[in-house]
Amino acid sequence: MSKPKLYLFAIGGTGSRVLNSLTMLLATGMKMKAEKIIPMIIDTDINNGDVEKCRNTIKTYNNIHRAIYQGMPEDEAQGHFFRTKIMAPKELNISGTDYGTLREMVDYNVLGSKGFGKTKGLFDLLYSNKNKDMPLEKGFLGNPNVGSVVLKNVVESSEFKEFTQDFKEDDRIFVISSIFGGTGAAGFPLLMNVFRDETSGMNNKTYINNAIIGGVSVLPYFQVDVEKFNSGESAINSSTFITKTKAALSYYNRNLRQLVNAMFYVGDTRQSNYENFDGGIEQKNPANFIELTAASSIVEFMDYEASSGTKEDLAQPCKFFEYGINRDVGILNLGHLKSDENIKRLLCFHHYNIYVSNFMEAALKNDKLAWRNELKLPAAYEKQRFYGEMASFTNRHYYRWLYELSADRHDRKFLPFDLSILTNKTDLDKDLDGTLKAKVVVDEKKLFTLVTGMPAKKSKILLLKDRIKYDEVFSKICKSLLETQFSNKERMVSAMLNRGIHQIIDDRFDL
Amino acid sequence: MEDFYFLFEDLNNWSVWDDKGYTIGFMVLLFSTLLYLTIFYILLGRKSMRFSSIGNWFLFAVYNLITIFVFTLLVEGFQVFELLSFGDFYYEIWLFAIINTLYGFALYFVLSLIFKRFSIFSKFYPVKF
Repeated sequence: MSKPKLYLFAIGGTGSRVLNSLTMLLATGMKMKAEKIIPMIIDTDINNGDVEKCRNTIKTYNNIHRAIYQGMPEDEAQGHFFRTKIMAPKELNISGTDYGTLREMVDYNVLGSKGFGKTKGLFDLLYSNKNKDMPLEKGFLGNPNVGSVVLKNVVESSEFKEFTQDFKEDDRIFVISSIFGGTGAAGFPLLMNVFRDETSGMNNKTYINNAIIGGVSVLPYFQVDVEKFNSGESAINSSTFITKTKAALSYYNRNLRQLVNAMFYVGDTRQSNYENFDGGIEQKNPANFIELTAASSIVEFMDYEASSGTKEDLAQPCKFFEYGINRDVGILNLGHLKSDENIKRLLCFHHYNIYVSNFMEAALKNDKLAWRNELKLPAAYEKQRFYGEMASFTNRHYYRWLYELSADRHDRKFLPFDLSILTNKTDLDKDLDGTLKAKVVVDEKKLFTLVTGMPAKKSKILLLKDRIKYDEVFSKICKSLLETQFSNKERMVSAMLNRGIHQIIDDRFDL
Repeated sequence: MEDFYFLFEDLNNWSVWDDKGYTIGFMVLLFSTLLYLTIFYILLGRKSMRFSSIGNWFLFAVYNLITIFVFTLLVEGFQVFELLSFGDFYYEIWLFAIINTLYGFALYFVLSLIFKRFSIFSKFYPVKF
């Protein structure tokens, strides 16, 4: 049986940020029991900076994935970097700009004259004037009651119709949303109702109705500057997040547990402090450990009763999951993570990035280097697109993501690796567009202390200084690689990097 | 062997060269070169990348030349011609040692082209093909 596809609905800013972290996890080679992932981004704030960032990360990921794995059978090279296929995100564009305000969207002013007097009355009961006149172009600004009306239009979009047309039996659906905001809190129950609606006229209704559906609901994990709300500069008030969460959880308990098959909850009492922006291009919140745990729940979801194709096959109709850490500490490192396999993947991927950012270009320029010649790489390979994409992912996306996870704004930081190697942190802080490359300086000594609290093993042979020699390991293994038939150079380089770096990690760390 | 040392024609009338001199000189040349190539390409070249550079290849060539020069001088002087001290050494032995050394470099280069295939890290030194 071929693997199912995963339709991943990422709602709102949190959805995009979780998707960004998932992309990083998949880049490490985390195994996903899915043929491919099809992200569906739902956000009325089409200019949201987080969405843009996520879009760029996935684009670079895809360019690398395509160069290496296009045409490769599904079962080959499992666990290799960038192995899982992520399609370009489909954006279910319901531009708030087109709707203006809620009042304009529902034609409030003519409701009474059209004979909908009672509807108008109910509308007045549910929505304050502030709600009615709130511009929708930047999302629902923490008002899920507004979102629940507007997001209904998502199902009318062409992207949603494409999704229903392409949906096959055994495919799975997963929804990422935050519970304390506007877009996510409104979108999740709405989507669940649409997916399980037996009376709907959507394509492949039976498959979608019976599909295994999971969701991660992100509980409050950050707060925003309340003064901006008080002064009227921003409409987002983080002091209401907990109240809204309680109300939403109560609603989920009553109405959603019958609809969802696997529900993951993640959240943190140690909260991050973000600037208060009403969405837009300025809304670029730094990556957060909670988003990483939410992303790992997606991998967990695909492992959950992996042999089950429909909800009828599941042992129990609904199961709830939470994520926990053993110790409540402000700075988390790899030692705090549960799975050794994931620790190893993160370690390998970090060393991969260190090699790409600091050593690979010089290696490709060295025309006498053994592995470069054994693989018969063409001249100026370092100037070709493949290496450019690898370097871009590493310098523009990976290091930034890593740096953001340890930002001072987080009360709980994730600092798995020594980031003193980044020399332009101040510039990265200022760079809102996310286009600036991280500058990394690593010397031979530093290679042994890259991992926080986990130094690499050193061996002493007489007076010789021990070194971590990437090129030496690659050159040793590339001969055996040549025995395998690779259809292109990129696949060969990728296989060498994967095998070599795993060998280095096995030699240097006790995991 | 005489033909190999064609540059050495003026010594042809010296019978002992024909008997032992050329052969021993050539053996020194060959074994020293083989030894250094084995160290550079096989012992080090399969173990570590540390020595894989054109500079190190050249350095080993220099070690080889020094070894050939010294051994040629000593072996020819003390063993072949049974001289008792450096003061007794003939001008021809010094000349032969120098020529043998020059041959040593040529042989080191030629045999490098064969030995490099047995190496992992120095496979593309001194020339890539």
